[in-house]
Amino acid sequence: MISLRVALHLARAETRRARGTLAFCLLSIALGVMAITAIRTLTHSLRDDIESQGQTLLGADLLLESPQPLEQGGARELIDHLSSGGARSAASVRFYSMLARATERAGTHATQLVRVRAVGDGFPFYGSIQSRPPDQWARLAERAYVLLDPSVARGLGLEPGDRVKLGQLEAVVLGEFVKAPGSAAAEFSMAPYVFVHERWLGATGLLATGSRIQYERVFALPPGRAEAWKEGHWNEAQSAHVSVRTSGEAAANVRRFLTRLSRFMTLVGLVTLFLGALGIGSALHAFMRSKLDHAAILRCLGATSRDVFAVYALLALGIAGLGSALGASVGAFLPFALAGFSSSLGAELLPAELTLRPSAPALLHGAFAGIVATFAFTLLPLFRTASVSPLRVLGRTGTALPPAGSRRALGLGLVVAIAAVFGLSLIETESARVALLFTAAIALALGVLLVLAWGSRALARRLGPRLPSFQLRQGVANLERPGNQTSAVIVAVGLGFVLLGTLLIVQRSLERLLAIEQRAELPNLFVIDIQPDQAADVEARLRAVSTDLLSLSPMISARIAAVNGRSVDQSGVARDDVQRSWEDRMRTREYFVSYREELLSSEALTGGQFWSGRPERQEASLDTGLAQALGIELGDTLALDIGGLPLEARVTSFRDIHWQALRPNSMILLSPGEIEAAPKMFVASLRVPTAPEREELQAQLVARHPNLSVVDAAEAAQTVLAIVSRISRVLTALGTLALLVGAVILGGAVAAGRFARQKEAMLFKVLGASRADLRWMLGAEYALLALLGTLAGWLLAEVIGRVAVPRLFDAAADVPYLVLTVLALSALLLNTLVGVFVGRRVSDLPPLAIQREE
Amino acid sequence: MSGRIEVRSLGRDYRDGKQSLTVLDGVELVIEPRQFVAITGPSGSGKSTLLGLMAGLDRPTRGEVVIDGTVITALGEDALSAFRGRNIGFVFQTFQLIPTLTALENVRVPAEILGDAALAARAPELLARMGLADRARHYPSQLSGGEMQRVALARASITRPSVLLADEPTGNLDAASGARVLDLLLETCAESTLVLVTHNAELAARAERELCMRHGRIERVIERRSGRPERAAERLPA
Repeated sequence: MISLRVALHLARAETRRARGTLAFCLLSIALGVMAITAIRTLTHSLRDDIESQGQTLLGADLLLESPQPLEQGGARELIDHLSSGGARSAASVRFYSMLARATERAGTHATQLVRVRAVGDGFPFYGSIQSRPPDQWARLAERAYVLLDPSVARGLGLEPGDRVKLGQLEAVVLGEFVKAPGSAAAEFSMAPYVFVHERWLGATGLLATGSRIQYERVFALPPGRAEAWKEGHWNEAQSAHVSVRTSGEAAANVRRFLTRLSRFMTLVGLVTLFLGALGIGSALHAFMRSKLDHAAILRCLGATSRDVFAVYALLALGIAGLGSALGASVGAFLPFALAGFSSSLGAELLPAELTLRPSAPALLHGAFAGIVATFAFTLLPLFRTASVSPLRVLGRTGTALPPAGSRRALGLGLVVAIAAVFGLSLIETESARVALLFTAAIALALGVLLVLAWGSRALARRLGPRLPSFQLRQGVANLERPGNQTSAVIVAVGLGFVLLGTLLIVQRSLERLLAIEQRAELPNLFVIDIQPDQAADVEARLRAVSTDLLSLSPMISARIAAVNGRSVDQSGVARDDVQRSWEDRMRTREYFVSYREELLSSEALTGGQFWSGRPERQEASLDTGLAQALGIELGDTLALDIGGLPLEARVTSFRDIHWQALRPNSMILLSPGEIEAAPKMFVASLRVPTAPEREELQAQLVARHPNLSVVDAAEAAQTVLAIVSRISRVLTALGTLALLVGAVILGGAVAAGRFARQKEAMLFKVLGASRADLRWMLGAEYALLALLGTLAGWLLAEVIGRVAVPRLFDAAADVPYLVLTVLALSALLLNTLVGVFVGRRVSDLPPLAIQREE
Repeated sequence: MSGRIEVRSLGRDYRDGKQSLTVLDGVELVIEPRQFVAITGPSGSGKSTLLGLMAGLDRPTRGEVVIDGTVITALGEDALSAFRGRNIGFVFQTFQLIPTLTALENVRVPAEILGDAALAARAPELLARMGLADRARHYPSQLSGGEMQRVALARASITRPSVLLADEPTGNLDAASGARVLDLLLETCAESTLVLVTHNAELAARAERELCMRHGRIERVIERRSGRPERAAERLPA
């Protein structure tokens, strides 16, 4: 075995005349590493910030929460236990309601859906809630005052001293609170917050049974006690239907959202990384093919296969190390360079103050991922180079020495590459299921692109000779020549396009889905919290405005208590809400159960038989996914806990629900019967043609029934769209990066194959071809490669989009053909230019100079 | 190691689809230590194949090659590489220098593969003997054909191999360069067994033994007085 010093020396020597090729290798892996390091730096900073600001975000150390008042039963015992230890506590209640302006003001809305948060004395125990004008928080208890989210003040045109109506309570506006990141006022909600003191809550008249209300109590505890208390009282809390959250679990919704978002961004980043690794693999493959003679000479001079492997592995590792270090360094600081963008993303979404800081783990992680990915994707060319026959120096490869098992090497190379993709995805996403799916998706995409590449080459072989122009014939023929990079380039360019194309299709489909105003088939106004005694009046008022898609459905808050007499096992459920699996969430969540006699048009029966009319015994029809998650079968008995009262129903059918129809659907639907006696509220939905009509109806309903929440779906969709658009910008940037990596790979492939092309060019020139002829040939070849890659990518993106969108959003995919065409043309132009630019030496050098370079 | 080569019933077939082509057919041969042997014959007669098998670059279909008692055709791949590195030097018609290494680095490679620093240290001296002291830092692309072959010669001899095999070493050179390379080859390898494949009758005439091959067999053996200088060391340039 040669010494490390000699191997290093030989590896370094191999870089001497290949700086250009190796620079492309370095760049392609650096870009991939940069993407995942930047994402990780950003998500680390976010996670750290939310964790470190947990106490001020929650305003307390511990929070108990329940849909029932906490003053009775098991919940009371929990509170007493905490209070007996001397913990300070404050009550808090949250619910959605309409806030109405009590004074006329032109040009603004009269009512707005808000999330009311009524808090008791002492809250927040940590941090403070700032206001404009200043120091208004302390005055909240003095009178019936409200402190508004700035958007509410803006929307209703309210100023300090103005009067508003919250249910039956007429309150005075103190001012706006400042959504200072890291404070309890910064919590994200689909409707803006309005703070009021708890003592005025009764006067609102909004705490009717059946309304969706969240009762809370927050505690200040000695350091470290909250976690221990939660662990020690988990079972009692579960049986009392009380959720417990510590300051470490603050902002659960946002953290869950960020966890998913960062996982998704990481996956997009990983595609870029693997694309980079694929690029370095294919460029090194071409590079090493040109070095086979060197390897054979080394073998003749006494080097073993292992020696040759060591030399080229060191070379690959060197490039991977340098590229990864470069990518990780740039990636670690990229979020700082884009700090403005990050904070604009954060301002609306993040409850915590985003303090970007370089993350050593993110940097090391990125570099490690880059090296592993490179090594995995270069193993195959390394094996091939190492197994070169020394007989090659005599110009004959024959059967020579037994190669190091080329089939075995191929198998091993593939296994290592797949294992690396899976391993890195697992590390990045921390989910074996996601990693497995991602690995399968990557393998499938690569497989399909390879098949398309093979088809393209076959087509080139057939059609090439029939083309009329000599330059075009040669350009097309190059796709099939020995040593061509057709497959690698089509895969690289194609994969980048797949990523960006799919993201654009998903984004467009989502935008279309949320364009509620334009979609006449959807209801656009929802009235929630209609009490049974209000139902008839509300329905009449709605009918007077529009009967389009009008429906009124009862909703009953319930939990699943048992299946076939066996209580739902909650012992293995993750304590932190964010860590909880989907299945466990289904097991423990609260449902809005409804009952009716027939199926809606948005539902389809998938199993069993739907009841007709009013069956004698209580029957249940479940969402198919829910039944699968909980292992419920037809004929099973489902026991529901409705505010502490039990209700049993036999499962007689399963349904697929088309949620995007925005109908009053329920995962758990019961037959009319015993359930009708349960405390309930009604939800009404309808389509009202214009925004002013909706607004007027809203004001009228709230004036008559102040407890109602009226949601303008078109407005809500705009809020979601704004968030989607912000996220899309990040993802599109990542997708564009992947496309650029594709172009870098093409550049690398061109550079790596330059010597082979130069030899041909020299011969063509000797035979009379002009520089222009050669440029046309090369241009045709690279344009064709780019075209094939782009078309293959588009095809695959469209297939993925058309399969994935219906599964993700329960709606047909909307392919933005114009955008994709512009993107495809840009990709085509970019790749052709890169190819021609990198390959320009081939056409420009005089024959003698080429011979000299050889 | 003395450099004794024994070739026993050596055969080599190549398969091309269903057809089998016998390139070498039952060659029997013994070459004594320090002997200078030339292998001649028309193209396709099996000269280079025989040389490749003697170097352990290829595996025979049948028969064996024994060098100094070691059956090299029975060695495993790594052992064969190690044996080749220590005992066999090779000079090719097309020089086969590594273009990314300088002349000096090219010469040093075999010694470095062996991990023998003392041998590696001989490289500048060997280049100087080849008259290339001032070309040590040049890359192969900056050297003439004759210079490249002299570098290759220095490389082949740096490990003091007991056997030196040369495949048409002057085939790509003009007459003057060829003659100079041959002189240097004979002088440098005074202590080695030298087997040389050539089409050049003048060159072959300087060998102690000429093996004339045809259709994969040794058709004729010509024994003659060696053209190798008796005291090579004294005649080398300083």
